[in-house]
Amino acid sequence: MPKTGRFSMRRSTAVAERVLAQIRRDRRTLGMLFAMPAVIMLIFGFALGGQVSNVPILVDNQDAGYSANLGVTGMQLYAGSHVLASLQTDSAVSVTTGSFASGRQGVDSGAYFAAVLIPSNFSQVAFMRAQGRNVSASIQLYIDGTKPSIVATVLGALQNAVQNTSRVKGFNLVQQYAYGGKFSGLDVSLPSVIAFVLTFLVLLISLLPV
Amino acid sequence: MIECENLVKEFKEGKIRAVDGLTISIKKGEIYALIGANGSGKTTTVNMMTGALAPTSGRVSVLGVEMPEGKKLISGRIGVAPQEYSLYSDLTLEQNAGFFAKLYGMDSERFRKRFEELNGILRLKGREHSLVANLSGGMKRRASIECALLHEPEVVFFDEATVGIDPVLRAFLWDYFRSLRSKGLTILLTSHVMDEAGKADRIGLVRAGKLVDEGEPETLMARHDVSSIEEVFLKLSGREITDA
Repeated sequence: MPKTGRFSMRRSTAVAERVLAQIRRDRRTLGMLFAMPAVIMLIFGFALGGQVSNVPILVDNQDAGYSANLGVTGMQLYAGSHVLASLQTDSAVSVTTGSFASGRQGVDSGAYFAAVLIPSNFSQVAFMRAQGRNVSASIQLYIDGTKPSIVATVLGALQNAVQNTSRVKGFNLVQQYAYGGKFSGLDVSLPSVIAFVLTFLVLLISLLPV
Repeated sequence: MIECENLVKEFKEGKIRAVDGLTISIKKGEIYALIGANGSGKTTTVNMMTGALAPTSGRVSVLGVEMPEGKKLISGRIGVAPQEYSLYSDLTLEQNAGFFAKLYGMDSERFRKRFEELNGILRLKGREHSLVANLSGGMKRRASIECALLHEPEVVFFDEATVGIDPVLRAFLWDYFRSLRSKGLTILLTSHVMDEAGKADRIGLVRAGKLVDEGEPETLMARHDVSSIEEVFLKLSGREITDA
């Protein structure tokens, strides 16, 4: 006796195959399925993505270095200089050196996007952390937070530089935003709204009689 | 083979009684024509027989199975060519037939053989890869009949199957229906074209959902002392114009 259950794999497969065959002939649906997402991705990529480079920042390296006594010989460590050098070779940022106070003023006036202060005990902390000591230091960052992609670029460059230099954790990044930085619900939902509007527009256009 | 007993179907909470106490019994290997004006309840009756609609009251059984409860039990043993084409116009004839074959659980080899055979019989050879949208009205009708017969059903329902097709094709289809009957197939067809109903073994005349008379064409004509089924129908319907 045949099964009388509501679900039938055979029927479902037959219907799925039939729908796929119909879609293959339906250029409009194919366009909606493949071309439209590709176009939207291109638009979004162009609008929101892209490489950010040469972001002007100011770095105040107050690191005094650290003379480490390793028993027989001593060693002079300048971790802050390594961080600075690493930032200077990073094409994402364009580094100017100067005082943190002038950097803050520069950020306020729009001359820089960020000002970075490497503390005087940076090398000492880096060394002690390498020795297994539980100490920490704070790198201060004063940044214009109105453009999320630039914020992400500066933070990425700074984190890379610190990690490349010390390879140990223990540095706190104290961020202070000159402008922006606090994202509202609209900032988060705006891309979705744009995507919805675009999708809807494409749908409307595709429904126009050919 | 098909039994209806005091079948009633109401719509809109009883305001419309589409079928009103219909009692019909159709034997195996019989061609039965249910005729009546537009809106007389023919299609609703067929829908209840195929299990697409549940009756408001009364009972209907097909192949000994109560409908609509048992429709899945016999779905592979009945064929339906509905009044509205149930074909997908954006698929080819072969894709349409293949889809129905899969629903009926036919394997590929059996489908291929049967599809070729029916294409020959229904004169659809050479149009297998044509989109249904590009077929003529007569071809669509034959394609619909082909899909209903693919799985070699024991009972077939043709709802207005021969309406809107030319006389040559109609004559051909009737020859084909008779050949199917000779193989034991039971056919129920509905029509509002009276002259073609005269070719059935038995006729049931429906008016406002009621069976007003039933019998062999000659018997009906003799009973009402007229020379055509159309005249029988006009006599029984009182020449009223019903809702289309």
